Amino acid sequence: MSRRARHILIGVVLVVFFLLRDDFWLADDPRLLLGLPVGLLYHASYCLAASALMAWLIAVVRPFENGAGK
Amino acid sequence: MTLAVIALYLAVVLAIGWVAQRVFRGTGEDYFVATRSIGSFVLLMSLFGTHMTAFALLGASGEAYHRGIGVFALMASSSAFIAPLAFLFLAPRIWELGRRHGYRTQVQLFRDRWGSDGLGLLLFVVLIALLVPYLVIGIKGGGITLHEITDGQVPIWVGSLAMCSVVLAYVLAGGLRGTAWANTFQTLVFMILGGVTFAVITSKLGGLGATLARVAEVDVSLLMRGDRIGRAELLSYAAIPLSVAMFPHIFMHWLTARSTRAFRAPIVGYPLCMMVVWIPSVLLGVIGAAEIPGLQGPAANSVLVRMIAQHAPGLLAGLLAAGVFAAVMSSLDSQALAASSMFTHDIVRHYGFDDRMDDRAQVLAGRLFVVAILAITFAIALSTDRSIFKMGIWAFSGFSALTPVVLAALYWRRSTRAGALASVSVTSLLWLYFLSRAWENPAYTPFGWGVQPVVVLLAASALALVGVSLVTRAPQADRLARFFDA
Repeated sequence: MSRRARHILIGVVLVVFFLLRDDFWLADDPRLLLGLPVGLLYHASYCLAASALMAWLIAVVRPFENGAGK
Repeated sequence: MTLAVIALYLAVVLAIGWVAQRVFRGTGEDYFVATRSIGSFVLLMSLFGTHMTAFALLGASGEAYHRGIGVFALMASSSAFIAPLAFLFLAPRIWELGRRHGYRTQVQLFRDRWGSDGLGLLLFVVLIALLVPYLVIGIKGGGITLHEITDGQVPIWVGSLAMCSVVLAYVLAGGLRGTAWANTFQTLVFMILGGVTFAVITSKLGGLGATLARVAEVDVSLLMRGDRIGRAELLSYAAIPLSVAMFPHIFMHWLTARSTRAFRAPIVGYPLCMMVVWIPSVLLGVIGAAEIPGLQGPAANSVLVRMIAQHAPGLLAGLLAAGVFAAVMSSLDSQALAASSMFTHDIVRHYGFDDRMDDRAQVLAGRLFVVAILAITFAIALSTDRSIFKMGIWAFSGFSALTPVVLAALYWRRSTRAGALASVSVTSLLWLYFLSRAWENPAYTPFGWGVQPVVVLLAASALALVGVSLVTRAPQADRLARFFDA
């Protein structure tokens, strides 16, 4: 993948992930799912996904490769 | 019993400071940046502990008491996404520049990057001014905790004073190494005890399912975002965690890393830590709204501690209160040390004493300023009665709005001294204006659109920086060569 394509991919992923924070489809839903309010469960999952996203970004952005990481 | 447990906890923290003092090398480099020797796990714990304060426990549960579970989406989800991104794109570069040029504060970096003493001085004043409300949150939080957990027997000012004294002792003794170690211990304590608190209280109330069913009977809207948090507010709150990019205490901890690879754990682990701490806080706030109704405004800050006192008395109450203390002190220490580092390096050493200050004098100046800043903020904390959540948001908004400055310093060669000055000036003036409006009317939002002031501040800051930079002379190549590869 070219450098430009990689930048575009990262940008798109970050924007989509940002927009997913607004769970408007659950905003008026007070149901409990797995013992938690469904809106809260969604955001707990969002945090787990954020952690995975960061691991992916480290692999793609490679921020430690300027000689300082050694 | 409760007080004895808290006293024991404080003694353990002091012992960590004492051990750190035994390995303290007596140099300014060791006192202010721990000789850049901190590994991955301690870095994650110290960064997270520094970031999370009374805001995350008392403020979050207090806000959830009034506004329901949407508070998690408002702050925790945005921090879980934005804060590690800031670490990813800023921390390794800043660490490398810090190592190459010997920086210990943000002001040193920005002053050098744009060659401006005036910018350095302005930033020093603005950063310290924004840090004060953040410190006040912690000092108030500690006082409230001890007051509530002892059923009002210990006055708020005594709790605040006790906490300040302990922080003062271990920061003075061990510098940033002692602070990082104490933070690691305290972060583990408040993460584990937060979970224990949640389990104990919900168990006493008949289990989580039964407790939430009771919340639904009292006010079902607490279990959903609903109309309590609008979309404009939700989206604009995403700008607030950008504040980590400009927090002086976070910057200081970045410099302590052993290598840039040490940032891997903080970047990946941060969202998980956010989840672990905020879910119990928010749920306990919501449950508190059903169990202890009628708390008005800032009084809800104490809902978590009231629930601990009601449902987990004795030994456990002491342990759980120690958890709240841990969260508060692990921020207070780094903030006080960052302020003292800035005073020592950006004012005392920079303006005329550099040649005459040996390591011992640097450490002494730093220690004196730690005492001064804690004394001043202690006095302010006693005289204010604002919501912890709201005070935190105002401090964070100011720091967030300065993010374009650090981004330009690291990534935009064409940015100029005048652009950076314009950005900081515009941010400061607008922040003061918005704060004055919100002081009169707490529900104030710019233009009445429901968008948080931080969004307008951020846009104005970026526009000023870009606009003024483009119409002023580009920086010289030799200066840029110090910061960018060819």
